[in-house]
Amino acid sequence: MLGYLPESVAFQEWRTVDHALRTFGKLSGLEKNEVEHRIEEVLDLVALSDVRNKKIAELSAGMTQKVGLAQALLHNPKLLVLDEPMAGLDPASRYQIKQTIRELSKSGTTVFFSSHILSDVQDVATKIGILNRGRIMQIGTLDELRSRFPIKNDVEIVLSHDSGRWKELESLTGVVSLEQPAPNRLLAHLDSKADIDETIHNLIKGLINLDCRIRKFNPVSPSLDELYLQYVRGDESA
Amino acid sequence: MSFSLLFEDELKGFYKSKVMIFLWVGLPLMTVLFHLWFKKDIPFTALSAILVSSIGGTLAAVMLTMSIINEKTRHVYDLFLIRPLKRWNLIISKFFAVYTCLTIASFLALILGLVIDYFIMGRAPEAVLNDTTQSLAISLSMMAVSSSAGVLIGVVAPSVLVGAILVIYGGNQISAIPMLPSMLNISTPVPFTIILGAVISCFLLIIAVFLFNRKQF
Repeated sequence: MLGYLPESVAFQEWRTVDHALRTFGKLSGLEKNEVEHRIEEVLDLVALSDVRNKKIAELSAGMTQKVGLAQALLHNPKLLVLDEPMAGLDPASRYQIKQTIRELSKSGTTVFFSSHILSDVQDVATKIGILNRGRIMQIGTLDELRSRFPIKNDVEIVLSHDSGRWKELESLTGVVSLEQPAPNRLLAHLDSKADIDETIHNLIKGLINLDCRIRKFNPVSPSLDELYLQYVRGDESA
Repeated sequence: MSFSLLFEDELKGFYKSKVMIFLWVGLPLMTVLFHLWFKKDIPFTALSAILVSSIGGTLAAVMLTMSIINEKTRHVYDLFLIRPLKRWNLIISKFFAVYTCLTIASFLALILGLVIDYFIMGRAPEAVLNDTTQSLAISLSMMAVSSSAGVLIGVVAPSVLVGAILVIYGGNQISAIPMLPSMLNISTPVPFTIILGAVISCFLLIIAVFLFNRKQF
């Protein structure tokens, strides 16, 4: 049997956390002593042991969502379907639900969840499907989704020592512009028509020659939000 | 298994609700107050029966309708319907839980009426018992009909407001049908009252279950 958490989880107002979980456990086919044991385990997992005897109606939205997750986990499902599990939650509850999803995934449960909060998806998901107008457009790991678009020609450089002379490199062949968005951070926009490897090599050499010390140097990867927009735009223009 | 579990659950939920507290305590109390107001014109037992069936039945029907509409619109049933359980268990367990509470409240009010009538009016137990059986049959039949109407309206009504209007007017009218055998002066009205109440209740509940089974949540 699968475990399911709807987007807007709701319980009868008179139910306590323990009462609700006991009923759903029994309805899922668990034996009486098994229910008791599993309630303790899942409440511990979602950090709700201290509100076990409280009425669900008295809990916050985040806690109610966690009770919803607890009921979905009670019968140890191999497949867990979560509809917007982190919608409307405070940062602490979101962090905790993400941790729980990771732990479940490690223990062998397949967790299938939908979310509009793409940063959460990026944090947790091992495989991502992009949906637009009810149609799956792409499925893959984050790296696979990124690889389907050409690499951006932006390079982020973090300096441990900034001599201030990096401006001289703006005229370097293959560099469109070089800017400083924050102290000790440079953002280089490269010309896509030029040889990218050659430009990067010259840029590193130039910075060292101009007495700048490099701490980090990496091409800017598109976030899942940017990828999503790229895919959706591509789909709509098609 | 599912039905008994849900029935037990609903019973736990209803017996502590404010409406039920009114039925447990408020109705017997109101009966005493009405009796004092009307002095000795109406026997206490008959007064109890009228109050329990009219107020209790309507309250139970409204409570059932509100409870089902509220749970429907808040998607409370989603978590039940993904589990291996028959849909009818959800609404029929609710009906029986409320009806059980009502039956107990009726007995409490009528026993109170019997005791007071016996001590104040000094009526013979046989005569009192005869009145009581008829009163109880009418009360329980009317409450069964109004409660089942409450379930049906709860299933079909799209909003709390529509449900409340329908159950207060419609439910109350239908629940008067079991009184017909007594009003038509049939010599033994009790069996007819019970049969009529049971048939109408079953009919309303069957329609409610049929519609609930087809409903998309």
